[in-house]
Amino acid sequence: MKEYKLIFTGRMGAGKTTAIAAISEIPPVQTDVTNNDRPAHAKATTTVALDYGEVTLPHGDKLRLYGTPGQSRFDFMWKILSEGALGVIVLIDNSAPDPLADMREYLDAFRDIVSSSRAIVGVGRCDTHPVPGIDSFCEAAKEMALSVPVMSVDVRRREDVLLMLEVLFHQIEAAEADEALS
Amino acid sequence: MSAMLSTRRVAVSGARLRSELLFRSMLRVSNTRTQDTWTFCDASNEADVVLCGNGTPNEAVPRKSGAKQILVDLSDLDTRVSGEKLRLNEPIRITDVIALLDAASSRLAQRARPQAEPQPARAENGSFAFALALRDLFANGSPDVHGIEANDQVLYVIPASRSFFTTESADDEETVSRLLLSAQAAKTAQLKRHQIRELEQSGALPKPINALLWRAGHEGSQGRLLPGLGESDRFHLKRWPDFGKLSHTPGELRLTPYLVRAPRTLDELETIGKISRAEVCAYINACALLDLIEVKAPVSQVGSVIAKTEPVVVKEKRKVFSGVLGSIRAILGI
Repeated sequence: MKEYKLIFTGRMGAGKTTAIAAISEIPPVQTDVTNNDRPAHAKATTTVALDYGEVTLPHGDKLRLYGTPGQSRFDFMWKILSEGALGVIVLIDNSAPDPLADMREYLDAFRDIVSSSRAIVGVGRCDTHPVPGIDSFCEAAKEMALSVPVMSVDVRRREDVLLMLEVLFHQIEAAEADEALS
Repeated sequence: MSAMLSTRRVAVSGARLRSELLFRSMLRVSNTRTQDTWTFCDASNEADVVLCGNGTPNEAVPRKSGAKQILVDLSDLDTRVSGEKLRLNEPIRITDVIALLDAASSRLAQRARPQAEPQPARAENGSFAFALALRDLFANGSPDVHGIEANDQVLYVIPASRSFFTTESADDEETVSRLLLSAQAAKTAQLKRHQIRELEQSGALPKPINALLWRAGHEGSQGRLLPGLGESDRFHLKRWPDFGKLSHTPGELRLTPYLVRAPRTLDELETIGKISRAEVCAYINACALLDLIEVKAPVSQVGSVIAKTEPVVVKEKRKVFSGVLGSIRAILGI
């Protein structure tokens, strides 16, 4: 049996748990507890360890979906999770105080995966908070010498989560095809 | 906007620098009060009106093709239009300049009508003309409000902020559809201050233009590339379009990562995306309207050979990756 890891990362409230729930075939295993940081985030609960979901593939293979804890005090876990991961989906809440800084932090944390074209950035709440625009996110990534697709999403819609996966997969295939040519 | 404004150009040929500067200054002052919008251009063969310097023979002035042009002789300060004269007396006052330009506007409009002959089929394509009009407007990044009119519909755009609006009563989708379906070429013009005030009072709110440009690029292409994009050029995508907001096809999703990674020819894109040449052109045009495309020099035959071998290599590599991605797609219904 083969296992593949797909990572959902981003700050508290960015929608990691919701995105995993949209595609997992099992009810996501959540480890939410009462959020003690209510002044900064309105969520009543938050993930302190991992969110987990899975998708069974042919021959018993598994696609394991991991949602990293939002708080940076758990960042030791990010590196462990990223080893051998198929890809990473960075979720950004555009209503957060500094969404560009959030993206930079996660792109930097998962730089190896991002550099090998196995990442995508999904920006949420763009309708109510259109600034910064998608162009600004792309520019910020470019300043970090990274090229990554950035798109506005609403993770409550399953089709948006699937679109992120589709873009991620096409990227992986293109990168592998180019590698094979070189 | 009941009567559509035109943007017209005025040039100076053979005049003293002082006269040219004087007229440029007056043009700047008069421009909010003239019937049309006037801009200064350096090439007299592109101008609607040419101010000819003292003693400059008319035949020495490079003429605009199609002859829709008025020469103003600064030596006797009158205009020569089909034998009629519009006199300007010294010292020239701003009201005289406005009168001169408005008279020229009327003459140009009158002259344009009899010349409205059937256009060649390609030029008649209103949707392509609409895409072109948008491209030209957004290329200059003007902070002014411009109106695009065709088929009794007007769309207002602000290139600098990449936004657009329609009048409060108009439905955006309907307006754009009618503009795209128009059999006439779209007319564009910069709005006057009082027209902008009227629009503001009507409660019209600017909206992001990207989805509209995207649609114009797709629907206005008609199987060909916009001017400035060559069939033999290679195209490079600066970044991914925001597919979360912009409609797209599976083929466009397939070819986008390749376009982002390296410049590609139309032939390569057809092969990679498994889509027709017309669909590739539509996608490239749409990306170009969003300023996402970089055009690179055409490739040599060697480059084409590499492109033709690519699908074989992709297939080989997919033994490792495509299997699992295909399985995930199948399970999730992507």
